[in-house]
Amino acid sequence: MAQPVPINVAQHANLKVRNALDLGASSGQQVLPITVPEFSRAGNDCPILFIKNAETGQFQAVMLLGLSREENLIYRDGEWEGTYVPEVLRMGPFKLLMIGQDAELATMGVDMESPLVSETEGEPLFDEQGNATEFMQESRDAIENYHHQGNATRAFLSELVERDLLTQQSLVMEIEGEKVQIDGIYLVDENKVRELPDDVALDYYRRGFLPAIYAHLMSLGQTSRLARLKVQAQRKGGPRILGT
Amino acid sequence: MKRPSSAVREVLVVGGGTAGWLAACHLARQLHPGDPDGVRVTLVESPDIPTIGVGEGTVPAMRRSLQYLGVSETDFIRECEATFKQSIRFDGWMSRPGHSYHHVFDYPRRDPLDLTPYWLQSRRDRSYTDWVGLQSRVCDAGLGPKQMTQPEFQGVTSYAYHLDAGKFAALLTRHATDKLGVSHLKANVTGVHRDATGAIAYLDTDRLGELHADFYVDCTGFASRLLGQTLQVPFIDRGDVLLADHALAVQVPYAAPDSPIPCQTIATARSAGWIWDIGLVKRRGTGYVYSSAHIDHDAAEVELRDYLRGSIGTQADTVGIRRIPMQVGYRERFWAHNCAAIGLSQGFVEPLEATGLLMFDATARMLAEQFPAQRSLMPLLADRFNARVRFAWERVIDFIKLHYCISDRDDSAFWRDNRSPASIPDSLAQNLAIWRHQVPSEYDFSSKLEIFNLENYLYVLYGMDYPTDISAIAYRYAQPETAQRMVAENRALSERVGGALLPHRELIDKIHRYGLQPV
Repeated sequence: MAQPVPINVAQHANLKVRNALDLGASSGQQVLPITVPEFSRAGNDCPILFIKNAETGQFQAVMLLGLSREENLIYRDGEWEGTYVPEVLRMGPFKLLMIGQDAELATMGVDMESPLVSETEGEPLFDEQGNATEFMQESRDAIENYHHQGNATRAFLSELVERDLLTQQSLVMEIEGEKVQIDGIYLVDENKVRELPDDVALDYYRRGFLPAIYAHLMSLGQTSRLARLKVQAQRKGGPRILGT
Repeated sequence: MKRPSSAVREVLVVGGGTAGWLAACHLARQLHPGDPDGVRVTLVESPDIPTIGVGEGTVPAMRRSLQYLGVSETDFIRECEATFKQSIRFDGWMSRPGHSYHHVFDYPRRDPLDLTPYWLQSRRDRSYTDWVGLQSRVCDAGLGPKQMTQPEFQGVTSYAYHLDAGKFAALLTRHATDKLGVSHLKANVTGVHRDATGAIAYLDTDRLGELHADFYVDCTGFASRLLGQTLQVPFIDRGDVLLADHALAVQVPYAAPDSPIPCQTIATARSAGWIWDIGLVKRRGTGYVYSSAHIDHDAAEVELRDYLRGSIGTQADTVGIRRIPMQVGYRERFWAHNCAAIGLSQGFVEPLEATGLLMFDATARMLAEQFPAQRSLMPLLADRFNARVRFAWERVIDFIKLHYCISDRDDSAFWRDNRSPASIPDSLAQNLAIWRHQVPSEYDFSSKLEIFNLENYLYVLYGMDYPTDISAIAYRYAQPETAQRMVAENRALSERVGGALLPHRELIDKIHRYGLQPV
């Protein structure tokens, strides 16, 4: 996977970006990261789970799209089988890069290998005078906003860890005789949430943490939806469905 | 609930350092100072007397203690310059040039059978430790013992820590006072007063007046101001068994900031003792433990500087070295009247198997868990504590002596004298006599409090090629195929595990950056 590069007018004066959804970027992704403001909509389609980043051990909130590695049951044959497309896919080729010695400065980055990026098709990033276009500014606002959502999500996850509300689980299912197991997932322990002291519970309610917790818990039933999608996909031929 | 007047309500720990603060933490964890019915725990330390600050190696029990005391492993690693210790590697303890073996922390695989006799019968082209486990290979490959996705205190292999003693004491101080309700006083003790029964009544200090408590913990180091000096409990010198009586200590840098961090303590045998080498994050702690009866102090310093030159070049000539005399042995009793000693005040042996912090931690926990519910129980509990702790010290001495008395080094009087029968405790000699002709067994270790058990002895005995001759009883070992299968499985497992672990320094850097998750 390519590393996004910082955008600058010197190198990217002629760069254009198609203002479209690149759902293909989710091919082969069993999970996609989501942020707290997205929980209730994402939870209508897919289980929202918490997993650890393999490199850093830190918790992330993800939408589960498949039941085995590199399996995406939601994006098939060019179709998105859900009601909600997560924001990470709507950022296009743009990403916020943190640079500087302590990674304290934010700059806009672009994934040069994205199919949305070219010099011929789409919205220009810079005008003839070398100023950022309105499209570029709107894109920048969108990824900055997404970054803030990410921070809020990290704060939410820290809180769950600190209050010891997470419990490690394995998801085990049998689908048409085949055993499916996903390890290393973490769920909120609803009993512990119910035992929170009143002042904490109220604080969680006001900060949107309680709704997020329940959106996550309510979404867990969507595993059966993924199971049904998997059965459908298998009957069409081939147990692994990658996006096209 | 009203407490009986025979209850013990106030404990005063005298002395800081790692021993004092470990004692304070264990006591507070058990005695609930914050609870109105609980026992108040206070620690008083001198603002002027420095701690000895040299003990930097631990054993896996310390990991369990930190977790039990509620210390965050992330905080500990970040604040104490801590690195992971997975083994002690003994270099040069046998006469064959280049001889080296690991005493690792993982238990040897013994299921479905004990591989020891099969290894003894084999060509021994691979070390015993390699046959029965994978940790020595993990260490030799320079890999850390855990993955970032594992919670605090969990690893793929068993591990302990190397740590900065001063910073560890500071962390324990903060933890004890912030989280466990220990009160912290700073003053010099100017006098210790006893009552009519001989118990300690109160202490005089230079700036806080009198300090009264019901129970006192002596953590005053080698000085042993309470147990030794005041209560006059004699010291039993064990220099008859363990010959080293001095240590030279020094801290040195790595060659480069990103030099690999060793995964083990290295103990290199020398002409009159051995040199320890412990790698922390930014520096190493090293030193020479030696017998001044076999080498003079200047010659010992030359040997240490020669050793250092290999890694730090010409800096070895100028780096500051500290000499510390060691009292090797232990008190006749460790708990007398209303006073128990934890730390160097209790006893000390050369740190060949990292027993310093180990004993502070183990005996502090023992004291805390058996803390008297009422005064009348003190004599009985003291007797019990004294018997257990004495047994522990004797076992520690046996195990350390083992390293010396089964060596075949012949190059100096120090090594030859270490094999003199008069210097070998009977308990050890009996074990060795049996083990000449049969493999060590679980039944050779009778107590839960042995400190060093079957697996520890196996690693050292067969790391040093102890000549156990089982030819007469070879008929007992009739499953060579099973043994081969186990060895092959172990090999395959070690390859898989190796692929899943990071280089040690990289793991430490990541933990500093991202922390470890509690769950």
